[in-house]
Amino acid sequence: MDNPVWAYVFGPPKERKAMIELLKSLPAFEGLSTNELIQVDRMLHERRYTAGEMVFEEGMPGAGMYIVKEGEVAIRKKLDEGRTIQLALIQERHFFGEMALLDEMPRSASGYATRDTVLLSFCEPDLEKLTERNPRLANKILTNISRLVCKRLVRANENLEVLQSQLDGRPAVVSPPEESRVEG
Amino acid sequence: MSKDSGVVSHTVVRFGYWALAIGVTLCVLYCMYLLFVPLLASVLLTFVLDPVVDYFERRGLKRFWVIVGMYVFVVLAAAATVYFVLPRLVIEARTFAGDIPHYRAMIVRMLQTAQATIQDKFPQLPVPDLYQVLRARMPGAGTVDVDAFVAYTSSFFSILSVVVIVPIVTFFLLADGHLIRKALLRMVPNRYFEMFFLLFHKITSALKFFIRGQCIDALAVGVMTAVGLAAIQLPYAIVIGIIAGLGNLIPYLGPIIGFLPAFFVVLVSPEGLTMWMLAKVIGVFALVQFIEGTFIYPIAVGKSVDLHPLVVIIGITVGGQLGGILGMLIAIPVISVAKVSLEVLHSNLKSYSII
Repeated sequence: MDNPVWAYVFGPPKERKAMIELLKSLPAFEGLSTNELIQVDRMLHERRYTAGEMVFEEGMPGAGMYIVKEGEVAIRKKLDEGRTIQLALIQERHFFGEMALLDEMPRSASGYATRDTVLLSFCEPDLEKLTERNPRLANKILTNISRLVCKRLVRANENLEVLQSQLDGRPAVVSPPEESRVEG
Repeated sequence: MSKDSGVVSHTVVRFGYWALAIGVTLCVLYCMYLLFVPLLASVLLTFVLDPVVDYFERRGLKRFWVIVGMYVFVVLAAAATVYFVLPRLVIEARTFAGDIPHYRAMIVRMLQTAQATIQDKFPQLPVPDLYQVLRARMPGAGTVDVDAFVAYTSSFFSILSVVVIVPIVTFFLLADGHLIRKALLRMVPNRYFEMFFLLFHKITSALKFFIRGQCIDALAVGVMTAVGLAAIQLPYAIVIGIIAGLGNLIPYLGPIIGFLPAFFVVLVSPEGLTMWMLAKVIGVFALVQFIEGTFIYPIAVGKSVDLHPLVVIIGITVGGQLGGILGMLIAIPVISVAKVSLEVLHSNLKSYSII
């Protein structure tokens, strides 16, 4: 049963229960019933990465977003001068790469597992199919993701303000972070 | 020393793993080869039925019960077809079979008249026996293929496969298709996961759209032709409708394939070839082609497959050479499916800078 293929095909209910519990605790699937979470579980793809392994590459077409089940992912961007900067460290229970879920655009940065990591991939074609099959559930998920993306946008704007004020040489006013973990 | 033996044992295990994986894959492929026809039929049926299941699932019904309900409906519909349509079809087929000697005699007479006329006008020209030439050159002379096909369809195994394997496989593909897809995607290395996922999705979407469209188009043409010909009281309307529907899978030649048997029926009808009947048959085919070309094809199939006439001609010729009439029939759908897959593959591999 170690092989994920057979574990999935003959998936014992215990594993499914644990997965449902995990999904329940994720902000992206907040407010979903157990039946709805079972439907979500059907669409997610579990991927295992070793430390340093690339999840996706900047500039390549993206298939969807990833949720960190175990481990950690670093989001890095190449600069013009050939340097690479780290934009964020995505911790357990948080997601990244959500832009590919909403639009078929090239990845704006690369993702690397910093240690042995397990990710849950939620891909755009599956969301599209879910929108056709169960629009109510798709709407709930999209609303949750939009809320989280809005929060990130607010944080990004605040970070910009801090940078601007540092450039201008005046003190910045920053609101306390709403989440203890750093998101990408 | 121990490190070396560790490396060797790793190599052995790796070699064993790959040997086993290749062995299992070959076994699976061999099983798939044995069951190729029923498996292909199940996949095609799944492509056609999937949106119907989705439709009812969207309305809050459980997928499993939708599929069960659909099976019950299909059984009832099949029973109704057997009860209402089959007797007429059997009568048509029996009448046709009974009339064959009459038709053959009629054709022989016509050919003999033509031969006599030619010989009369060009006495120096050696004119062969036209009937024998026609018999030898008829595309239907691929009797080996027809025999093989009949032998296959009538064998116990193929009946079993159609009656048992196709419904069961289709049931699981409809109910658990996502599990199979998930299991397949798990085998893809992480590096290629996203690319493979998008390719897989785009190719299957394009194929679904194309196969579904072709089926709807063929069904519409078949039904319209049968209804139209029945309305003008042409014998064998249902049989000709089925031929026209299937023939419609071949672009350009489709209408001709449907029209030829109808023309033949008019030609050998007891009243003989009357212009009025011929005009009515042409009218029915023209109307069906107009409705199909203007309303059905653009919506059902669209521009997804736009094959050049030359490709169609070469495809049909090669298909005919390889598989007789059946080969001619499936050549264009196979080329179309290959074209759609290659187009998607090409554009995506380009976007991944692989080609």
